Amino acid sequence: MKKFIKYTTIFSLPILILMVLFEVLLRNIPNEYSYKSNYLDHNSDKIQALFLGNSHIFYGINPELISLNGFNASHVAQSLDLDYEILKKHENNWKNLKYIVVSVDYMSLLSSIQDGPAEWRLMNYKIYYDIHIRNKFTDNFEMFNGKLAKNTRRIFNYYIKHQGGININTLGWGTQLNSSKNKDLLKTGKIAAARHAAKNEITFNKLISNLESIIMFAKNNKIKIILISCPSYKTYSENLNKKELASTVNVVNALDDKYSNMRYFNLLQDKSFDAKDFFDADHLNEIGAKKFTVKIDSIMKTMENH
Amino acid sequence: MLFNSINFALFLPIVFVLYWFVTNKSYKSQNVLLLVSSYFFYACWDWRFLFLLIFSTLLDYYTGLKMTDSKNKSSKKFWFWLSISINLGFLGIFKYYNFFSQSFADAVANIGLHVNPWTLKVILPIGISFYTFHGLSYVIDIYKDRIKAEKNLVDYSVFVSFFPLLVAGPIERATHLLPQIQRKRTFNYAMAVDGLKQILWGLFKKIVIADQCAEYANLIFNNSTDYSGSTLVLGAIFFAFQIYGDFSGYSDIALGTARLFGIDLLRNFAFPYFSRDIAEFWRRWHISLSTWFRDYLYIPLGGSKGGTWMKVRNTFIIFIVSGFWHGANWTFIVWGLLNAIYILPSIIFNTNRTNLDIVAQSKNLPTFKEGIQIITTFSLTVFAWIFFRAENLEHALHYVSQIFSMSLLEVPTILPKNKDLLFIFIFLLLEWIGREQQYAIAVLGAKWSKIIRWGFYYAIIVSIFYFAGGSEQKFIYFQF
Repeated sequence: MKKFIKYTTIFSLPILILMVLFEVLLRNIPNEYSYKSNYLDHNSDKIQALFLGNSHIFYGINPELISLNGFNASHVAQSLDLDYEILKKHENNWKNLKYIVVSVDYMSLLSSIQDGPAEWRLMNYKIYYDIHIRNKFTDNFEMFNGKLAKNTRRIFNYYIKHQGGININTLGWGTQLNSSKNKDLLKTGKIAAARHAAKNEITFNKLISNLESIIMFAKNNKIKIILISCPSYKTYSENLNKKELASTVNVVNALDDKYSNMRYFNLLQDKSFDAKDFFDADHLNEIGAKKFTVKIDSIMKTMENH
Repeated sequence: MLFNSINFALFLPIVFVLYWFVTNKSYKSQNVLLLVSSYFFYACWDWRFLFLLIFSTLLDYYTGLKMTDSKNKSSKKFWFWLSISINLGFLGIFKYYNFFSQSFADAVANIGLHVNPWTLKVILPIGISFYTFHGLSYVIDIYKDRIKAEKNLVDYSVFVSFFPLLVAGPIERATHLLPQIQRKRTFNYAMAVDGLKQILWGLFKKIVIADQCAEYANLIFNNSTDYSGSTLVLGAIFFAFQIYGDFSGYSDIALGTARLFGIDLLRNFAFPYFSRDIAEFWRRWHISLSTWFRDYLYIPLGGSKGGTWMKVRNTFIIFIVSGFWHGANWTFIVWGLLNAIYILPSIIFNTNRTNLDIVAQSKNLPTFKEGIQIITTFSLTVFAWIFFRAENLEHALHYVSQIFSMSLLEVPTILPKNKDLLFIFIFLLLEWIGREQQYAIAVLGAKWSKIIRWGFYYAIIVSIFYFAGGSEQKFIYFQF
């Protein structure tokens, strides 16, 4: 047994040392999550308009074009449970917050980040936000949440080529979806609609409760809340399950009737957005993002005047 | 808890240390540790179904004792059938109820009657087919007076629930595993090292081969209407490698893990894709299930004793039941039927035991004839896998009809990346080199210097890390 323990330890040691080194190197690379968490830690008391939600908001709202002091705290696949946790984390610091804008899209009530292929992103919330909505050991490590090839590339790009890993502007808007690289709208519409279709009844009720908690939080703090179904191209919206879509819209409309501090705007099939505004069928490019942001800004101004 | 997860990488060393350092004074306390660990392992998936596993264990334990104690045949028969019917009843409810309900509704719809099938919304308890078959073999063996009932409940529970084999086999026999549980285990260095190597190879098969092939297979099968016949052929080949890497990888990890605890499990795979005919393939694929069906279904049905007609009938029965064992879907039944048809000529002409040896034994390469035989057998297997993988019969038939169209001659629209092809090539090469061993790298490098040998193992580990990451991919056989 001694021999076994001795050789197993000697054999494993280089692997363990490399793993620790790898983790340290990965954690020291700035990323969008660490940037946003850090920004909120230091500036949440100055923010007047906070944008929460998934990739539709992340790539769709550029707070630099908002007349109020805004920040985009959304991210890819960020579901309502995480939106609420982010809000709660800084609950005593939202001193100037006037508006919370949250995306309530087709999939927002159907599935949480935990249910889908983006569940690995939860480690970013655990490590950088200190938010944990599940108890999974690997969420504590960067290296277990991405393939070695991808992580090695990140380390090489940052430490050797001195290229950063952040693709957002200073106010949190995702800048990667450029109109020069637009994708096939027909193909991406079908694929995205199918990807967003999975529904879990338990999750559905839980996410409604999270959404209501966000609204209640805003109400208690005298903050106005705007729920948005983000613009999409027809190849996406027409491929969605009508029944599921109606169930989400009905829930949000019921909340709209119930709470006086909230307004709901369904821009899913808004005709003012056309093909050139979309990077793919359910994400706006920089042209569409400008249009969308200006629209939201004018909504906030209108609400400000009433 | 998945074998390819970090949780298992922590769980295993903890149990190992407790087993050999804390409970090593007596095998009884080691068995208690194995039982608690196994239940914890199972509860990590869904603790509610732990009660079903415990109930199933208690049922077979109790009926086993009752059968042994029975004074007369009718009492023994009663307890036997009680156990069989409850075991199969659970399997029927959890696995097959919805299938039968829906199939009945579909059948009566064909004669103009409309019935709304009453379906159950139940999750299939993981491993139910495996541990039920464990229990069935135990009670059948007692009924047939091959073994006596186990009196120690802990020992029997470990036999059913030993965590390496609990969720996807190998399907063990009481005659093989129980004696190992009932005696003191001493640590064996060579056995433990061998176990670690087998775990490493299993992880390579799962993460490097199966999970990479799954990406191509899933893409092609899920969008089969968009692709040419040639691409669909590639999709089926990728699935063949996926299911082999996945399931045999799982078995390797299970066997390797058990060896760390001084326990030998039944071999489940013996390089099946190097088989020269279908009969040989079935002697090398999912061996523990094939032999289970042979011993508990084929032979009781009369086996080969009643002439050719009986052999053919019995073969069809076991292949159809085997297909149905995999899942409540007509696709599995057709898959079983296809394999029965493949094996039919060898039964009629009595050539099913022609290839009992290892292909090209002690040689580097097969003969031309053997090469052709291997390719033919592999092609037939790949064709049958289409039905196994398809969502339903309609999907499978459409997939097949698309293959046999003019688009078969087109260049495939999805071609694997060079690195993926390279790893498949390395995998096949290592499998070929190691085909005379228990698993591919069992003796590979035994004569190399330690530095080169360790370098080889490090290379395997790096390749596993290279392809791992993100969400752990479940094993296919967990759904059965």
